[in-house]
Amino acid sequence: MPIARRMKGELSEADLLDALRRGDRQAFAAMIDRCGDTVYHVAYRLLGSQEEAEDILQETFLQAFRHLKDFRGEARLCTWLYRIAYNLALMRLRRKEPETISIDQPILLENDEEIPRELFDWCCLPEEELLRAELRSVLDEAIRNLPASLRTVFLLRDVEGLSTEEVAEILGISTDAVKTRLHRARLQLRERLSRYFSEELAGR
Amino acid sequence: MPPSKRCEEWLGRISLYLDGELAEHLCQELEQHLKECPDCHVVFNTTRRTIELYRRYGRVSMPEGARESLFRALNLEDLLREEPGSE
Repeated sequence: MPIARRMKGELSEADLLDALRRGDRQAFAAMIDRCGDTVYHVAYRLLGSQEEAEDILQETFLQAFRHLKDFRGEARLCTWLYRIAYNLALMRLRRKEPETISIDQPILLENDEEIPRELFDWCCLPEEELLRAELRSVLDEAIRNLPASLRTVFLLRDVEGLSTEEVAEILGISTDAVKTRLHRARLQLRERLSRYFSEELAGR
Repeated sequence: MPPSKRCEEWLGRISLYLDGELAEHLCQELEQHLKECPDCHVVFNTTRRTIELYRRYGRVSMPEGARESLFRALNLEDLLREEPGSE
């Protein structure tokens, strides 16, 4: 039975996969609807440019559709795509910045960076106050300054809401490593936001 | 002010706590510590708010132009305008 409608969120994973394997074009479109944003997000946050993120977006789907027969259905389809996107983006990043990338290596603690220093309490300020402080660009800059290995874990777990197990699968690391990196990412982001808000908002 | 050793230990567990993965007896001890230690309380609250802000404002979606290029690259441009759920 061909998929007459895209049914973005309604189609089961198994039905979608069947349709993809039959070459149903609606199913290809549905897969883009379902996984495209996060594929783009991963690439954009790793590479920092819209243009390169678009390249990775296309390469990911082309590669996925070409290799559909290799997909064993052990992971979710989107998880499989995110892994392809991550690996493609990582390869490109390594070409661009070979000196900075030790993304799969254990991370060493440097300069006690996880010890909180900034204790300005901005947690309960109304959102309008925070928004006035150009919140989005502050959030963007803070995440951009995270080491790539922490950045990807944070965006997949906390922003995209994937499970620890899925993130481990995508990045090819252990679930314990995901948890450790997530914690470190959160503390580093907190520190940066706190520094910013204490300068911008303290005493208002 | 650098936190004490004891504070460091508790702060090391706040992510597990926030993710609902900390053992129950440790949750109670952590909550007690947060009541007694204003600095850790601030770090805990601002960490939680950091996560909330990113959840709400940190997402990046593919721009419409990128989506269109992708559909074209896959020869799906005739499906570009179809709203999900429509016939």
